[in-house]
This record gives sequence, structure tokens and C-alpha cells, in this order.
Amino acid sequence: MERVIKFFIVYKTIFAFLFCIVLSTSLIFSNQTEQVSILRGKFADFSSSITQKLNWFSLVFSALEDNERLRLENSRLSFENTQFRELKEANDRLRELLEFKKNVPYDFRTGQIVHWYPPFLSTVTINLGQNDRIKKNDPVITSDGLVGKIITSGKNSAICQLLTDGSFKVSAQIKNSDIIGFLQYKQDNYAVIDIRGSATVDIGDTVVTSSHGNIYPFGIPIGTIIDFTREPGLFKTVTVKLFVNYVRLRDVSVITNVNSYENK
Amino acid sequence: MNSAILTKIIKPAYVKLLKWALVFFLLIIAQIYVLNFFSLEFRPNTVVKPDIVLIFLFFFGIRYSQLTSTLTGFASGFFLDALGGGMLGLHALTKTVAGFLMGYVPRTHKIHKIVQFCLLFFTISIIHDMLYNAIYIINTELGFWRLLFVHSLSSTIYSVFIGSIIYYWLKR
Repeated sequence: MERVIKFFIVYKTIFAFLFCIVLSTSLIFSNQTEQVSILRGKFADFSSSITQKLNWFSLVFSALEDNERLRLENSRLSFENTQFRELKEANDRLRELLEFKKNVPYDFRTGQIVHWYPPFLSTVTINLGQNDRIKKNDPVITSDGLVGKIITSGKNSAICQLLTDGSFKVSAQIKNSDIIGFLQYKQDNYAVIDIRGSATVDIGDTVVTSSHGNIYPFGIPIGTIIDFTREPGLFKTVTVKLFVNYVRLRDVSVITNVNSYENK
Repeated sequence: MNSAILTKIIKPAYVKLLKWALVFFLLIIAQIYVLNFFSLEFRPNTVVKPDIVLIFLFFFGIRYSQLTSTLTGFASGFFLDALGGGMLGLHALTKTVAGFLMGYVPRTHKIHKIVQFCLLFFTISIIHDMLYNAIYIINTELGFWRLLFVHSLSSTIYSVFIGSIIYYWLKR
């Protein structure tokens, strides 16, 4: 017994190293478990309570730039709003004529990015949590398009997995067609989607979230097609330029009632 | 209570431990938030910033034992993952390896020149960054050369640059 203890003491560094490696590896493989998700949510609450206070400084410096950007955006949206209002009125009249049921709108919660996790821009922490009815798998969007989904939430903050995370996949559809495939981020601001080889696509076609899957409502813009493989084959690889600028993300919206709406 | 009485009650070793724990905690907060202002975006959606926790882990590692630097690497990596919101355990793994490797680096009194520091820290940092990025890109479309040159080398060079400035300032 004494020899065993002596052996451990002599090689304590190696044993400590191996123990830490095993512990960290098991943590990596346990990231999807409920216990680790709860732990991450609690840590997210703690860190966002600190970083939200520090955020005040960055907000002061960026206020002037944000003001100008918002002023231009406001002008554009006001003009679009007038057009959409006319279209909506025409749409309502047509629906009434055809006796369609009215759509139940989705519930949105708007929040801010508290901090992000480079180098791959894989996750960001937002200042919305369970107290704002945010839960796992809620889609996260901006006015430009799909940002990602919530992977874990604490009481006042949540971690959002971005579309630019290598392991993120979303069922996507070419707009105004029935062509569907799984979209995955590739590099820079591009993603790829594999579709059936016989499908016909054009440069400039818009890619949106598909009507399949339980997480994302149909029709959230993702990007636009900029290239596709032209060789004949079983599958065709389409390159999509993403709409959202993930580095400049500041404000996001979370859709909180997708599942309850879809199940009606 | 008198600080002299406190020092007698709390063993000096624990005071030192608490001091270093506080230093690393502040470094982790700085890494997660403050250093975002010093990040460089040289390609779309590719951002690099220096790893200040790794830099101070190196200074810590060449001063204390291999066991201490291994355990400090694990603890600082774990809290960096937990508070940063990334994959839990990934920084813990890579910084454990970095802390362990620091045990084979010459001790403080034997590193006289800044070039010596840069070469040693570069070696540890590139291993750390390659390991981190290699695990991260599993099941992604990223290739090996892009991993090496765009992600690992860029962040290593930035960390070495900042580390050499800190080394020069401490040496004075």
C-alpha cells in the first residue's frame, strides 16, 4: 500500500494531467445533457449580469453611429410600411372573400447581445431568459433573417447558437419551390446546402427556412444563392450568401411560441 | 480585524491562492468582454483576439511547478468556457494541455531575451490553438489549411505580440 501511495506521489503531475483531460473530455461530450445545460444557463446569468454593466460603456461610444443607422433604417421602413399596409388591406379583403381563417401572429421578444464567443462566432449570450419566456430551441432572428436558436437559458439570459457554428444545421427551402435540403455554414459569410441533383435553381434565388422540422417557422430568410455545382449527379451543392452580418449583431428577436402555434 | 492577525489565521499559501484566483478571474472577465474591443476581423465572420488568459498562464507556469500550472490551466479554462458561453470543457482541455507543456519550458530566471520568450510562447500557443480549433471543426466544412493559417496562426501571432509587450513591461 505504501508503494502504491509513493507511486502516486512521484507521478502526481501525470495523474493530475490525465484526470483533468478525462474530466474536460467528459464535459465536452456531456454538453447536450440537461444537467450541463442548466449549469450553463446559471453561468450565463452570472456572466451577463457583469457584462451588461460593462456594456454601458460600449453603448455610449456607439450611440452616434447607431443613431444615424437607425434614422436611415426608419426612413426606409416607414416607406415600406405604407406599401405593406396597402397590400395587407387588399390581402384581408381577398381572405374575407375566400373565408380564410386569420393567422395567429408569433410572439416576439427583442433583446441585445451581451457578449459573443470567438473565434468562430459560434454562440452569443443575450439578455433574455426564462423570465421572458425564452426556452431551448426558440428561433432567433433579426430583420435581415435567421440568426440561430436558443440552446440553453438561465433566468435572465440565454445562449444562442449561431448559424455560423459548424455543428448548426437547418432545414432550408428555395423560395417559391419545393426544393429542400440541410443548410450548413461553410466559411466567411457563406453556407452550403445539398439538394437533389435534378432540382433547378438560379443565381439570386432566396433560401428560407423550410416547412419541415419543428423548430423554425416557415419562410425566415437565410440567404441568396450565389453558386451551384453544374456537374450531373445525385446531389447538387448550392452556395448561399447569408443575409445576416453575424459580426455586427447587436439586437435580436426571439420567437417564443413557435411550437404552440404550429401544434394548433 | 487587523491584517496581521488575519495573515496569522489564514495561512500565507491560501492568501497566495486567493490572490491568484482573483487575478485569473479578472483576466477571464477581461478575455470575455474587454478584449472584444481589441478583436480584429480580417475575414467575414472570422475574428481574432489575443488569449490573455494563456499569456498569464505562461508567466504563471514558468514561475511555479508543472502540477500547479496544469491545475491552473484546467480551472481557468473551465471558467472561461462557463462564463463565455462556449462549449463547456473545450478550453479546460486545451489549457490543461498548455499548462502541462509549460512544465517543460525553462524557468523564469533562464528566459533572458524577448526572442526566447516569443519562440517558447509561440510553440505553446500554436499547440493550444490547433487543438482547440481541431476539436471545434469536427463535423464542419472547414479544411485543415484554413484551420492552421486563418484561425490558429492568426490568433497565435496576435497573442505572441501582446504577450511580448507584457513580457517587456514586466521585465523592466
